[in-house]
Amino acid sequence: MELTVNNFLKKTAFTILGIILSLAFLEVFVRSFFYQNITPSLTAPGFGIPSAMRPNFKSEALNSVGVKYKIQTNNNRIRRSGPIGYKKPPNTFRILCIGDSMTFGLSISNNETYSYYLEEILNKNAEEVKFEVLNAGVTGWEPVDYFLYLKNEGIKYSPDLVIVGIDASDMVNLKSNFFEFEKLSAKKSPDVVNISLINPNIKPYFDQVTETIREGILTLPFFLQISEVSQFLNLVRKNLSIDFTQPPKPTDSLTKLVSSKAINSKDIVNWDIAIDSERLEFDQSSLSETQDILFAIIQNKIKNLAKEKNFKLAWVKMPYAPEVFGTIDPKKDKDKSPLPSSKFINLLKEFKAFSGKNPIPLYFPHDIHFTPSGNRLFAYLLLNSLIESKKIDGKYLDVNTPTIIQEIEKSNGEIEEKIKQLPVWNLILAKKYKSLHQLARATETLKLYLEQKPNSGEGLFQMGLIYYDLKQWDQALKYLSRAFKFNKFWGPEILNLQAKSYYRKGDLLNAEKLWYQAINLTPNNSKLYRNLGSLYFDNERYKQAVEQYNISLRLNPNEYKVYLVSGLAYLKLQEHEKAITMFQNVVRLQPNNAMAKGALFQLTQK
Amino acid sequence: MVFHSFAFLKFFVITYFILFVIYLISKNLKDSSTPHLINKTFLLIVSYYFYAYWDVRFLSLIILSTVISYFSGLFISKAREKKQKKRFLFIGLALNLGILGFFKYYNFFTESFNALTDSFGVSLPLLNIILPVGISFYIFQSMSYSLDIYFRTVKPANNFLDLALFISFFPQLVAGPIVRSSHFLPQLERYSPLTLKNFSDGFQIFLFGLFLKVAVADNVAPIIDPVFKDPSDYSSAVIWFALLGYSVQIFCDFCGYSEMAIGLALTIGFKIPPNFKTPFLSLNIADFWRRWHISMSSWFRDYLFIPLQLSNLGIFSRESRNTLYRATINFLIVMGLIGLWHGSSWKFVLFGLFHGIGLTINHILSTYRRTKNSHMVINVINWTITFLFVLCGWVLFRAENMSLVLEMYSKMFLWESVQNIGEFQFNSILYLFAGIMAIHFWQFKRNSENFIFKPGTIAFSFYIFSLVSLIYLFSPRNSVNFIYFQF
Repeated sequence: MELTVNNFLKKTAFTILGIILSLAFLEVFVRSFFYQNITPSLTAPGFGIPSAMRPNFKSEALNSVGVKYKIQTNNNRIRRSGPIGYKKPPNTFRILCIGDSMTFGLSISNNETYSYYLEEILNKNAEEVKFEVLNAGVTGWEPVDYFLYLKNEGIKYSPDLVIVGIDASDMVNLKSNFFEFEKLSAKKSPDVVNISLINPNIKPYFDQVTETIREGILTLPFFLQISEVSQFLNLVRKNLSIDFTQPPKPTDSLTKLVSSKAINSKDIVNWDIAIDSERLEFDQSSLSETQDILFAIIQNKIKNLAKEKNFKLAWVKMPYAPEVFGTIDPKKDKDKSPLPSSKFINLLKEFKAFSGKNPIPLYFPHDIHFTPSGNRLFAYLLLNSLIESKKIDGKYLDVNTPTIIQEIEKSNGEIEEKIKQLPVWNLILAKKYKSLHQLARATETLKLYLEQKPNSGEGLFQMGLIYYDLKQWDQALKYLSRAFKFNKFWGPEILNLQAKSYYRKGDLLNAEKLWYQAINLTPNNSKLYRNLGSLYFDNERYKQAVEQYNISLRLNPNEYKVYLVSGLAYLKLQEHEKAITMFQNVVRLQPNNAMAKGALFQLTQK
Repeated sequence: MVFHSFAFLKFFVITYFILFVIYLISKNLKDSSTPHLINKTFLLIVSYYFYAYWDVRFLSLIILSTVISYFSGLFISKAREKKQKKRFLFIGLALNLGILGFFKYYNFFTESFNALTDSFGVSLPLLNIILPVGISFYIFQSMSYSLDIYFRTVKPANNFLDLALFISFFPQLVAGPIVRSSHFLPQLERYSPLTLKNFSDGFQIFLFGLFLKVAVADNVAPIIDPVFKDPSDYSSAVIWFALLGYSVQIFCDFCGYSEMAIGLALTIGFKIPPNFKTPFLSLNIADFWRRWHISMSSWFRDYLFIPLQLSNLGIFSRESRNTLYRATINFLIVMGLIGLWHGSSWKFVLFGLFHGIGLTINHILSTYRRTKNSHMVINVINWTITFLFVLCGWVLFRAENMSLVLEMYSKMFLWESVQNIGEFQFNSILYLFAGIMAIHFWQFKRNSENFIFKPGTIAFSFYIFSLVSLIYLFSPRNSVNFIYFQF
């Protein structure tokens, strides 16, 4: 008996020893091959959202240019150093900022976010009222999260104004599978599809119990402390958080409906949307704009909430870096639907103007996020626009005065120098000059950049673009052919520009060849067929021109210009009936097009 | 149902539980023949369920193949004359190959035929055939039964049940190892009760296989896949490293699956021979095929290569028996077929022929090899040449079509330093390869493929805890399918 007990104890001891040795081995293994910099996760489930900010969180890290920044949240999960109660103190104007990483302030400190600056500026100029601007943005949020946060938490603060920062990625990220509809039906006829959505509702990701459990797992204090000591356990915790915080994926009822009725993305759709017996009006649109429809539903819901809880609303479109620099990425931005801009505060023009005039880094390099200076500028511009639209009382401040420019520049602190030392800064400057049509300056700075990075595909491409604008075709071709070698990503765009240069130069043979090459790479780009068609048209090869135009129109049926030139080509070919259809299409898209109308008049007379 | 899924975990736990109940009952009985029968019947049902999980229709194929082999085996053993035996053997093989040929190769041969006869205006219709999972594996297993009976290495199965279980045994059903009837059928003769040792050993083997598959192979895939998709975007160095990565991936994927199968079979008391024996330590191509996918290569060796070498048919006259000419032709035939076994495309045939040429060259060189134990330096040279040869072979195996094959070869041998698209993780590939080599050396030293420790020792808990942790930490959350399921 004693022997077996002894034996058992021995085995247990060995087992434990083995596990301890294994832990040591794993720790060394993870430390040497999978070292992780950021230890605890900033977010945990809350308010029905899988990634709400964690309360009383503090961390320090280095951003992409090597400058330290601090993140701190208060006990109510607001990015702020001090506590904030739900109850609003008297004589206070409270502003709640909701958004994604742009609002949150990625890789900058608490006191460098636009909401912080906004509060600072407002309070400096206010006399009687005290302003509070709360930063409730979280990296990775999208409109469904904005709504859930506002509904479940935001309104508890009884804000006077809610600023919703809409980012370029919001439409793509919008999670359609969290919409529920009381009734949902579709009817398909040959011409048009009628989809009716009655009383949409947005459900939270988790119910209260699951949320508490998940939150509990992730915020165990023991876990956090251990994860700071052990890289291995931190990796375990990271995996656990991936496995436990992913929201369930219910089947998206709208997608299901669409697939069951065999509706194509190109079908014309009539939307009939009713929220509490109130009807939302939409123009006819295609199904590819479903995200817009869902976004409109969220917008409407937030609007209703504002009415009910009596706060003002400001929708702000965050200035998107590629738009500010005039370099929209061809592939990445393909699926991003344009936002219905009229209802939004859009500061793009002002941002572009300021950024052109002042060589201050407003964005981190290779990034779409603001530097502190970018945030300061944004705060000023936003304030002016809020005053203009009477959402707030205050003093209009011109950002072009030297004191404010200096203040904006100073906000960057250490970051400014770090960015300006990077070679890419010259590229950024060059793009800026180019967008302001200061081509000589742009060429100079780009040359500086290319001296440091002679094989930069983007630099070479930009140089080609500038020479193209300067109409120096040979120079443009020289840079473009090199750019093509080093930049596969922009390949078709580069080939297109090369072809255009040859075409303008009069070398039609090479232009034709390059357009075919570009078409080979991206056979779905309607622009390329159009350009090739125009080449044939000018060459009086109308039959071939018409062929190309037809392909272009099949790919993009909403280009009135292509209908127009196609109609002209048919006229030359004496195919009047086809020409008439083409001109009719022009008139359908552009009812006041004089040329098409004139041609139609003459043709029908005959 | 793949092994690394919750569905399979559920399936296996229930299966094992019921087997355990049968075991408990059998313990109290003097005569174990009834529980033995129940045990086998239950395993057959479970195996059929496992297979039907993919597609119920496939089940008919496996039953059909079993029936063919059963009767062919019966007739062969009953026949008196050699000629008659041969006839029954050929009928059995032809029917089995017919199934395989139709489901796996019909479209391939039709396409090739149509390409040839295109100018005459003759063409056969292409059919929309789904490739049944694991068909190459169980058809070969089924054929091995008739062949074994013909060569008298095994007695005919006692009953249909035994044979059916042998062909459909779920651990090795869909991706091997291809078990020989002479190895498996004797294990069905007596009831083998569940034991703790078998379970512990089998579990350790399974865990090791799971580790190779999900923690290694599945992590290599995303690194190298973009390179094979569009090699023009990468420099020569990347292509070579991607091939190195692919060696790691395919070894860990397939060896991982085999180990899982071997481990699972062992937990319920069945022994399956190893499928890999440190293949990356091979010193020549023949050596490589003795270590790589052993169950398949030895199948082709025993049932095809050796009979071809010994036959006196047609061009293979008795006089040519030991000539180089004959060996070369046989190498090319067998390796071509091995290539074709992997998939119905000329790419795979070329892969086989490539290795066939390697084997021939090795055959020629081997006549000059004097001593068995050569010097260390010579070993290193041999190893390097063999390894590079195998790497070159993977191009044919992995590249998606022939034009990409040519592109990759031209990049490999005409040095080109293009700016790569994105970062290629050279380091990860190197570390993983070094890791695999370390495991190989260890296996070589222990002279065993499996790492099995006794419960209650330090090594045991160290091994289990480390493996489980690594599997949890590094398994990708969206799993990749097994490479060998497609064959």
